Amino acid sequence: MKTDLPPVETEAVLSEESILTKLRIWIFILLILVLISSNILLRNEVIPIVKENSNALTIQSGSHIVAAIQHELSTAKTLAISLANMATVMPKDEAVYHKTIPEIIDIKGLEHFIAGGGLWPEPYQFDRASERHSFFWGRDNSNSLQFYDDYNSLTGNGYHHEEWYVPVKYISKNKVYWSRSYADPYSHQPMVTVTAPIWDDEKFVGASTIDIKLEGIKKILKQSMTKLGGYGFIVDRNGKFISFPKQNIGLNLYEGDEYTHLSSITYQNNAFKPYLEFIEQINEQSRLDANAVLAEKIAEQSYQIELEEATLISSHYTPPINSEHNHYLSGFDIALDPLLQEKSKVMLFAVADTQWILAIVVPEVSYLSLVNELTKTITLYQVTGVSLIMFILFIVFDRVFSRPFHHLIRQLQQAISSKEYLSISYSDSNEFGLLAKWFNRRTEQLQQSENELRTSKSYLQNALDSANAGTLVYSIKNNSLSWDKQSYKIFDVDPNSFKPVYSSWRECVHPEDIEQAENDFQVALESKLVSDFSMEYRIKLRNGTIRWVQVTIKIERDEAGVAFSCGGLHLDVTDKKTAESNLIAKEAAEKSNMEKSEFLANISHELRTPTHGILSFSSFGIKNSHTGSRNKMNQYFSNIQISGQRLLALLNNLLDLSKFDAGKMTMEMNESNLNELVSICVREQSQQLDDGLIKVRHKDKESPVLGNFDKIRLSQVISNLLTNAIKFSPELTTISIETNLAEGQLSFSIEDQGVGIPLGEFNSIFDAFVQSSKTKTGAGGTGLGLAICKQIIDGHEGQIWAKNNESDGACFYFVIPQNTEKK
Amino acid sequence: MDKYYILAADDDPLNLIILEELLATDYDLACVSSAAACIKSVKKRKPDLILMDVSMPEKNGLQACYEIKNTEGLKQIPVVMLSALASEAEIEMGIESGADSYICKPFNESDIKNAIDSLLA
Repeated sequence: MKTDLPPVETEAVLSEESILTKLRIWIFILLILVLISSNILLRNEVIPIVKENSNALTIQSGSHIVAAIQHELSTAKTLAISLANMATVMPKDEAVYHKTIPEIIDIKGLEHFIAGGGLWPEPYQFDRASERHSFFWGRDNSNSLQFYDDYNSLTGNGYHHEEWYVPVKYISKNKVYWSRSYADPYSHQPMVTVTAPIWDDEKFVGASTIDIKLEGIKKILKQSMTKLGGYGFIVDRNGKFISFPKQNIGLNLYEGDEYTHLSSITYQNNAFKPYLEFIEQINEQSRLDANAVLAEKIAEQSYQIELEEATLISSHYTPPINSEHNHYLSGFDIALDPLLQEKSKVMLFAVADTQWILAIVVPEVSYLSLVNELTKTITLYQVTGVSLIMFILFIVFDRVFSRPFHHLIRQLQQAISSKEYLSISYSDSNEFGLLAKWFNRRTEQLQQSENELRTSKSYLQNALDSANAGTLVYSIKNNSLSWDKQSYKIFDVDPNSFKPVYSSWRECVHPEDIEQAENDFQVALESKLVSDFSMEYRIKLRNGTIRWVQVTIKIERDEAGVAFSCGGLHLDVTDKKTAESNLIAKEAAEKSNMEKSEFLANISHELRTPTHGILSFSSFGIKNSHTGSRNKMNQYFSNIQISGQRLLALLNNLLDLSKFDAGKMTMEMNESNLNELVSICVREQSQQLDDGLIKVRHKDKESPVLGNFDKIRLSQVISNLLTNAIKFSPELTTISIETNLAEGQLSFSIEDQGVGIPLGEFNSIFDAFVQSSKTKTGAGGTGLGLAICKQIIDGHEGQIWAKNNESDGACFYFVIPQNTEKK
Repeated sequence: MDKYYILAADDDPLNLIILEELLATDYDLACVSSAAACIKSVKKRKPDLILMDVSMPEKNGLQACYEIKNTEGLKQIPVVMLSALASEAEIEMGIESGADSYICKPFNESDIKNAIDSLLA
């Protein structure tokens, strides 16, 4: 294993493709989703609950205010009832009344609250002589109680028809009636009177009153509302304000000394309309619940009370109060409160007994401040938490995934970039470790495979080397040629300057062989069924020597059978070729020797036959020289002559052939008639023809067939062919001869009905020293006749050949040009 | 005593003339000019001896000899091969064909007469 690694080609993944980046983004998105969903949860589930709680809290605060007010009022109420009860038991003595009543009313510590009070007997009840006999004390400028006798004046309206007196006639003992609010004649402070009935044995005998200043109630309201962050006001059953916060929004709150009505304020500013509508709604309910008879009585008896108010007074209706939240009536939102100048929430409470309604107006901002605060806090925690989780996740992710991932990738890059088989190291036994382990195993397998491949390649290379074989791959599509070292060596080309294309190979091939080689190769490529192809050709080496190359290739074809590539081997077969040609030469020499031996044997035979004749007949002559007749002797000499002639003919043939072989044969070209020549030859052989009972049919022998040729030599050819025909013709057969002149060619054919030429001998019968096997069977001959014929025809630049007839016999042909130039 | 009947086969008329000159007085000699004619004649009249030239067109002397030597009733007829083919291999081929004697041309009177007499004795 190598220690110094080659420079690694580091390849970074595009950030938008990176799995790690994607995972990080997904974690981020997930956490953002968690944040959003928890926020939605907060807003939809938690905040309404908080809102409700906050609502309940406000209602509770409102109830506390009501309770505080009622507590204040109950003091006055109790005082009024006590005063009424006392009246029933007190002696009707003016002195007692004047002494007792102020003492009861003037309670220490409540001077600011209780403005006055008194007893108000029914007409003639205290004194049978006086109709109006009230005992009333009120506070003067110095806030001390003074007795006022105004209502007892006979000139005035008296008190029996006052608004605060009439309704009390119709309520039971220990109950009170709360009057309209009005202004203190001295301080102009708003005030209200609580009236309690005095019953004497089921008989209404008068009423007790306690006047209270409403400043205290205003104070309670103001203090409470400061805490709540809004403002509050109280209206009585007629919609008349009992308290209203100080303000300067341009509203006229007073009618004279007194507070005005809600309707008047609404008239001035329409924003108060919801309050007015709510009061109207409650009054509507009250009217439904009212006692009409009583209302009429009250309206009739009091000059201050109209029927409408009397109806409300007669009603026992009290607005429905939410049982959970004491005194709470209802609530609504107001888009723009005229005083707070913002969106506000209004809550209405009933102040029991009094038929008053307390309104608490809280700005929504302050109302929701808790909710907002809570939301802020929770959101802060969420964001912090999510950020922390994200941070931790990123760190964990980095340690668990990113680092091992990058570590592995870096190692893989190093391992793969290296030419060596490097293992990668990963110590942990987690999934990455497993990945590394299996990668290493694959690396080992690859290494092993490569070793095996290398071994087998070296075996193959050894085999190729030992065979002196070079490889080649030729991509037909790309015209790219790929040779190995040995191929370059075989072709004796420089690998560096060799352009690996088809034309380069073409240039290497011997010019005499290229056409054939290229043609053979192209034919093989185009023949769709050919997959194996081999050829041999010569190449010319740089030093001019010739080398034989054998190429053996396998052709790769596509589905359509079109060759796209081929590959195979180059072999230097020069030695084989040399051996082959040597062998051929040797065989040729041997054949030549054999032919010569055979020729000599034939010559010997042919020489023996006439020699035998000469010797035999000469010995007969010698033997019979004394006794033999002249005729007999003549016969002997004739036969000796024939044999001698035969011998001479044979010797002439031999001489001719040796002349042809030496190239010394000359042709004497003269214009002659071929048909005439044929006729002479036939005539010369008439004896043999007659002997063999053979006829000759010479077609159109009278018409001249003229041409330029050597008459003597050509007659030699014709005689030879005729002699052969006669020799091979059985008795009573015909020899057909035809001559012709066409297209500047003289043609001759001779056809016999003999044994024909054995197959396989057509090419050799014209060779010198070769005789037909048929001839060898006994027809005899020198084996030179046809060879001489061929030489003569060649000398005329013509052709001679033979073939067998369809039936029996052979046919010999020759053609020569009509005008052969002299040689 | 009758003369022995000898049949001679040779395609060369000169050779037949020589044989006639040599043998006609001592033997009853018949001549044919082909192997086929020879076999035909043998079947017609059985000779006491056959003189057979080797080189003849169509069927040669060796084939004719083989045929005669493998024909029942004819095989005992002595056959003398006459040939200008004088190599040892050729003589051997003649003997293989069944010939009883092989005489090379040129031969003289005593050569052939001795051969015939030794076979007829």
